[in-house]
Amino acid sequence: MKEPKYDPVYLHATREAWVILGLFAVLLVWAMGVYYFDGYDPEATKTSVAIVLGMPRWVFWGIFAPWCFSILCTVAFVFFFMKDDDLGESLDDEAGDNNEAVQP
Amino acid sequence: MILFAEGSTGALVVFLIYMVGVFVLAAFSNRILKGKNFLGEYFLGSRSLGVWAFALTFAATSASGGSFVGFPSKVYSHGWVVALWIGSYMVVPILVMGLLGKRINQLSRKTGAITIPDLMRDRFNSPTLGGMATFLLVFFMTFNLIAQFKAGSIILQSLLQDEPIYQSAAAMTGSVMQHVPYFSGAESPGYLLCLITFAIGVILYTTYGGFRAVVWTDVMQGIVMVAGVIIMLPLAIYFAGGLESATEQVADMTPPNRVKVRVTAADTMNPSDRVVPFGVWLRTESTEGNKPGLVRVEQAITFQGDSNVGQLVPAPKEGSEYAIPAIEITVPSQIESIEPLAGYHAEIVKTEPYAFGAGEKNVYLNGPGPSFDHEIGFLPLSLAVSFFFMWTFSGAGQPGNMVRQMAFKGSKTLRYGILTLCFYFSIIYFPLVLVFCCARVILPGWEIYPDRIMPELAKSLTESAGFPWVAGLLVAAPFAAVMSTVDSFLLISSSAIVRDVYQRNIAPNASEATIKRMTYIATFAIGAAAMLAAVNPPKYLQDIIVFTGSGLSTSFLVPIALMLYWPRFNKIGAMLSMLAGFASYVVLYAWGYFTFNKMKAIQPGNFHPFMIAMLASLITAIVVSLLTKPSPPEMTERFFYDNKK
Repeated sequence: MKEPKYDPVYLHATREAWVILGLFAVLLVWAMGVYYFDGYDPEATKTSVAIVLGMPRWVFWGIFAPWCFSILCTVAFVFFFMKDDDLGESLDDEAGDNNEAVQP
Repeated sequence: MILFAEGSTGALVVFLIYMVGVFVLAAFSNRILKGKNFLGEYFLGSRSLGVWAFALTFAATSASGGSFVGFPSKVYSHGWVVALWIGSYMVVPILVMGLLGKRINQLSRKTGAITIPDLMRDRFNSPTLGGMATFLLVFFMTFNLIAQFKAGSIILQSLLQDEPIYQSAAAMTGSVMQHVPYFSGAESPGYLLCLITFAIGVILYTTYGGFRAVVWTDVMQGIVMVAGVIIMLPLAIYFAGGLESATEQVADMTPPNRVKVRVTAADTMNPSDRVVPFGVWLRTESTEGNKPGLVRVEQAITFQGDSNVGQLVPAPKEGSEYAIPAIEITVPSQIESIEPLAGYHAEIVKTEPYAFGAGEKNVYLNGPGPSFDHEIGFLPLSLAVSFFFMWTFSGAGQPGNMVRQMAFKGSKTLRYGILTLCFYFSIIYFPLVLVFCCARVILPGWEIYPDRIMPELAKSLTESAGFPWVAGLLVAAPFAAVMSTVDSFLLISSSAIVRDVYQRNIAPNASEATIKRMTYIATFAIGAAAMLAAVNPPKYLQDIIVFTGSGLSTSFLVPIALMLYWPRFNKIGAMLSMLAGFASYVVLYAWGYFTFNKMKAIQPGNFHPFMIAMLASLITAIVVSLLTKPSPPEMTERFFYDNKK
């Protein structure tokens, strides 16, 4: 017997989901890494904080920068990676065609 | 125009224009409803959402009152670290829409499902699973609706409080309240009036227009919100003297002390002139070796008879009515520059410093951020990680978001929707952090009532800039946010009842006319019941919103994600993972409630209960599915294999 073929929408969606989870993991490590090494001061002992573009340095490198990176990734994902799939007709649309209500 | 002339702030005008707009949109939706399959159109807009509608309804639904009230107050109270607290919004759009969107949409088309319980039931062909999902949904939604109604009323009150028409209407409500026993328990006539106005408005347009009305008003509300931020950002930076200067000033700030003061009026003051309103600054006596200090009172003070000692009316349940709650400013430059009210003196009788950050500079720039209650600060590392997960995965697990993913037109809409939402959230959340860090410089001392910082800043900025009427628009933003959350929740609850309980279990052959009547009645009845429950609302508003919000996703995210992506996942696995998520979450909260005697969860290892419950749900799902029989092959084939002939 021939192996059944997986639904292409399922395959595309799975691939896209893994890429999204990967991006999440990168951003998580990035933001938390910068926070831990540059922004986290649990004993409140720091006497000075470097400022970049008006923000504390750790906010610039740990939040603003990955945020911009994430926007770029989203643009690339949407235009170059995510597939346009046919998601099918809906059962209730067919039901709608059958009902006899008056058109506006 | 007449309203402006009467000294109104214009807020009422903005509010009225806004409400008219909402009802016009509902009327249009109702016209479209005719001629379509009723339930599919009423609850899903016939799955025809385009890019703008899809993206903005998403944005508006997930931005609840918290985004414009609670969030600004957090930035103001804890400083720059809140940028990290909200930081995962950088990835929310792509994750929340992209992770499940395509498959939810596809499967709901395949099965004809129009609600989330519907989808679960059809995916596993199990009415029991559908019933469980309906129960959990209604359980959490009911709590949340009550809390959101309360939030709506509070925001409407702050929007209208200075309007003469509102004040006389509130007075009238007060006299009616005395004659209706149930209403007499409401916290104030103004609260009741705003609750009823808000509730009736939302219930009517939601009931009348259905999902399409909700989505269209969401689009309008989404635009109001982003306009609010775009107007505030440059004004806040300008009036704070530039972002760099603001951050430098914030670096020098040390957290205030919470104090109790005894206020005395100077003998020279006429007894009838002795009034100290809420939020007034007072000078404290100089003590040995210390300069005179500065406090700001948290409540209005009255002077009884000829007494020159101020007191609280009504007297507090605990403590003395002469001990007035206040904050003591600890920043030398502010102590010198702020002008106190003359003729009164405050004497500090009790001081409680911040548990983390007291007396330290730079705490508002670094993590974990100052905190009055927690010795570990506002955002220790483990909580930072928890919140990074929470906004993203809790967002993905919200039934309100999932329903919207059933409703978009096609995968192109999904792609552009992700992009639009990405820019939208980037324009809103990061700039709000900048705005409210600047607010620390522009309006010091709002630790007395941080939830009011958004309307206060809006008022202050627009007055300084010379166009006070814009404040009405800005204050309408949080109101729009709450409204757009409530309408969507209302619809989710009524769809669960009409579709999943009535149509599928009680009367499968009911005619369309009956279903229609039931839908209108259910939507209206749920709204009305939530409104009545909100007359004497539960305490801990924000806590309830957080509890129900992440509670929903701990119950729904894992079973939904796995049923879309894992062919081996089965019915038992879905049921038990849903229960495991729900139960572990509720147990952590219940345990916390009995330990701390307030709505606060136990946090093992300082991780948010959401993380623990999510993990419990995931492990249960995988282990149980692997230990039990797989789903029948025809079911797997239908949902995972290419069925095109």
